[in-house]
Amino acid sequence: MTTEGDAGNLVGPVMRAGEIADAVLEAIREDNEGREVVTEAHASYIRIKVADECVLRYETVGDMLGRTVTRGDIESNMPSFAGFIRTEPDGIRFVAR
Amino acid sequence: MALLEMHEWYDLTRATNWTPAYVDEEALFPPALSDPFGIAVEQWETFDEPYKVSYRDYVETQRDKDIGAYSVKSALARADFFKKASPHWKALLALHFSPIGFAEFHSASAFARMTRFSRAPGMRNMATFGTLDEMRHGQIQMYFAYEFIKHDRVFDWAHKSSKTENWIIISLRHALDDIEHTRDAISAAIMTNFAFEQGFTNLQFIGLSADAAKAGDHTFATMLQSIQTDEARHAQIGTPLISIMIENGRKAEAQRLVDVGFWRIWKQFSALSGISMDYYTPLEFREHSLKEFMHEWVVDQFARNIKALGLDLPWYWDYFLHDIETFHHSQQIGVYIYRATEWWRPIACVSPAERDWLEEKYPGWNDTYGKCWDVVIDNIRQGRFERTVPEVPPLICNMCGLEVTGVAGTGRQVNGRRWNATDFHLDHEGRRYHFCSEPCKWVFELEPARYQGHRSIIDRVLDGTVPPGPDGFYEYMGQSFEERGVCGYDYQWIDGYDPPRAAAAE
Repeated sequence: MTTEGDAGNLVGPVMRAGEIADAVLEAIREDNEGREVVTEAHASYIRIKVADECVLRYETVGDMLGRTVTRGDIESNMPSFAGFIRTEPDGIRFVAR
Repeated sequence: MALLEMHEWYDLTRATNWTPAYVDEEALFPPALSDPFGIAVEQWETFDEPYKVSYRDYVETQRDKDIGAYSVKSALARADFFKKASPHWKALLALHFSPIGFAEFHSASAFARMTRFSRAPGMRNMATFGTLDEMRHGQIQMYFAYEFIKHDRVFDWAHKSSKTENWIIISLRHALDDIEHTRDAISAAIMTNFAFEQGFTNLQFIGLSADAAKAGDHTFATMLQSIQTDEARHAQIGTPLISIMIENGRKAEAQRLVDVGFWRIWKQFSALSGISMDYYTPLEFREHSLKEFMHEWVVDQFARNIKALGLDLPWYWDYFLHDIETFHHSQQIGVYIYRATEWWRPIACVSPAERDWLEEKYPGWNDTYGKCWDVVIDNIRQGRFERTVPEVPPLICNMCGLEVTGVAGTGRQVNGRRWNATDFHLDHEGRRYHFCSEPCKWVFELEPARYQGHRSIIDRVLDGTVPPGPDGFYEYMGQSFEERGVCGYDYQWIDGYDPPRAAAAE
């Protein structure tokens, strides 16, 4: 059982389970190279977490899927996230603050 | 001609704080509606949307979301999931759709007011999209619920409930009136977008979607998550506001708004999500308990955001952690035994196997709440059905509008039984107010003038607002005879207790 904040500064998206979620996970592994990527699978969603900052780039997700991926594609499959969000021209950064 | 990228024009188009020519600034943005904190407009103009979207992009994305959700519904319509669903799942759907559809329209109205009265141009942008989001949430849930009416008229209450004086609806409406409709744009946004949406909507719209997916109700699961993708965006309005408040010496005010909003909405979700997850979801489809989902989404994820923004956890945090494990169990007992006052068919969900699960998730459940259910079970087995329904009305909290309850088997002993229900009462200007908890009483004491005119359903019985007679109470709440809840399993749920009884007889 958790106590408040005991997940440290792990941040990142919560994705609806499916093809986009799988691609986002692979993209995050690539865009956050050298850093541990923690996943937590539930029946309908998956948590993807990286310490302090998690970078997600649309182009990398597109490379995984073999097609263009837009901000809207990510939003449509991201019902939540841990940390704070910063949308940028080419992707999203999740930060602890 | 090449189009500029959004980040190249966004800041310019956001600069919409023009100098008014026909009225003065104060008439355009009355402090009582726009900013009672007296923060300079230049400070509000630093509001930078953490989650930026253009209108063109918004429309395309929302269209695709709707196509996704309605397509799943259409594709699965022939599967007749609802007709084959158990009374468990039907009760869960009724409990979700009846109050939440109209609650979304409350939020649309609140967002529209933020759009009009905020002095922060960036916030007005986000609130505009939020208004449209909430209209979508109201419409999609009303539409999905109405699909069931041909099978079950209970779903008529997805729309009807908001127009009634049913006690559950009074409870929810009072909370929403408080945080969404009777505050300035900044306060309403901190309470609604941060305390309510960031704090709790994940619970019902993602946590419950996991249960729905396991139950095979992919239409419901998809709809819930589709809605929450909007919430994830527009709920971010609150964070820049809190930062601006703190930077301008208004931390105490921001803290109070979070503390009040968080508690008021927790009480609503405790009953809604607590009963849905720990009782109405069929045992084999339960992903987690309410307590586990609360720890994942609120005690960890949301609490970190509170602290990262520079605020403190609410002063009642320890009490809240205790409430996570207790309050909804008591409410479930009340909802079942006062079932005629509800429009759906409540179910008990305390078969032997379900009790084992509750005991595992909430150690001590059998020795506390289980003892109450033992009395109900014994009465049903003896055929004393009339004794499963209390003759006296419950004591209702003058803040949250829910039953004042306690934990059975604990506390002071009276007539050989222990029950620690406490009425946190307060005498104010000639009348006594009753509260279920210290935080509910605290909220009232902060602003008695705001709350003292509200009358709970029991107040209305006592002051004659509710007509006398055996049907007066139900007629006041908009419930015809056919719309009064009965046991969803027609008491057959106690069959699970028969084998041990048969064994004992042998």
